[in-house]
Amino acid sequence: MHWHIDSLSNKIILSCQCPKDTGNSFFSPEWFGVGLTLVGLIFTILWQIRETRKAEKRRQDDLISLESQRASDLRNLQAQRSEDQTNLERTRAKSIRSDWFKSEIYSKSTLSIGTYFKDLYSLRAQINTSDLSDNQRKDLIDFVKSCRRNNLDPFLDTLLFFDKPFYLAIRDLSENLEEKIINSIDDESLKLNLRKTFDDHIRFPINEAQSRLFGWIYSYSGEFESLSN
Amino acid sequence: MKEFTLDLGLYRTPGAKVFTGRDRGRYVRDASKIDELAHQFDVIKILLPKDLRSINPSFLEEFFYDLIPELGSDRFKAKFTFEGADLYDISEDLDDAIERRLREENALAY
Repeated sequence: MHWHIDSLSNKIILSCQCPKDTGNSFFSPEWFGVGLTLVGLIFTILWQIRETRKAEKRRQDDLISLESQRASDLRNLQAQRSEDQTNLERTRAKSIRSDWFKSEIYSKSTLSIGTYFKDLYSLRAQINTSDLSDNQRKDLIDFVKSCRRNNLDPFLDTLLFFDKPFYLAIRDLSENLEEKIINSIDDESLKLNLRKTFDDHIRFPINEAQSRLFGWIYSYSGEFESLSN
Repeated sequence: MKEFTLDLGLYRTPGAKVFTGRDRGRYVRDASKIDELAHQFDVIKILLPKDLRSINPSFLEEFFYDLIPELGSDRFKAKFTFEGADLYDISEDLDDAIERRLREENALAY
């Protein structure tokens, strides 16, 4: 028994010449050779089919994996685009708010904020005796409150509806300053007419509040974030 | 008409003739139980220390934190009266406190 490939039909041609009838059984060496060749051929064909199927499965798995990777990349790209878009819109909105704050709120209050601090510094000239009377202390306290009421409150009122965290930060800053100054004026043991005492209890707190407030205003980018500053 | 008198002098910092600061306002609100009193009595008379020099609006805002929005300006002023101080007139600071508290409450809606 033998086989060859027919190049015209592209087929495997298996030809077999039956062993001559020698009167022997199928267990004769000739028939055994034929059977062995057939088994080998069947095994080869089955092996080839198995390998082909495995290769096909690997190819399909690779394709699925590639498709899955592509889909994942696409989702990531879309998410990144969406995030970029959100960030861009947020940056734009912040920029608009920052411009709006500077042009419509701060620029209209620049003078009054400056006056607020200037008036508070003028306490130095108003406290000219170590022995302030009850009435003098009360008048000075009323003056401090009027500085805030007349100069800072209009700015704060506008700010409240524009950026509440920013409003709260400036409100607390000004209230703490006012509280320190009023408590110092109320404290009869302090000789506020002395330069060092005045500086420690009134001028330095004003300096600190002023630099902090202007720091916040000049660094304002449309969203108040530095509550702890 | 049920009336109650609250002596604010009991809650001031020793030696001080002023009431300042939100922290102090919160403390006095809790210590005096002003919210409960306001619901029990028709009128509350706040007795100010005779030698009082000032009360800050921020103190008043915290002291009456829930009562101002609850009652509104007119009902609040009808319910609470302030007397006793020789030098100090509370009206301007009280108006400031009421106005600011109501404005802040409204701003929450934004």
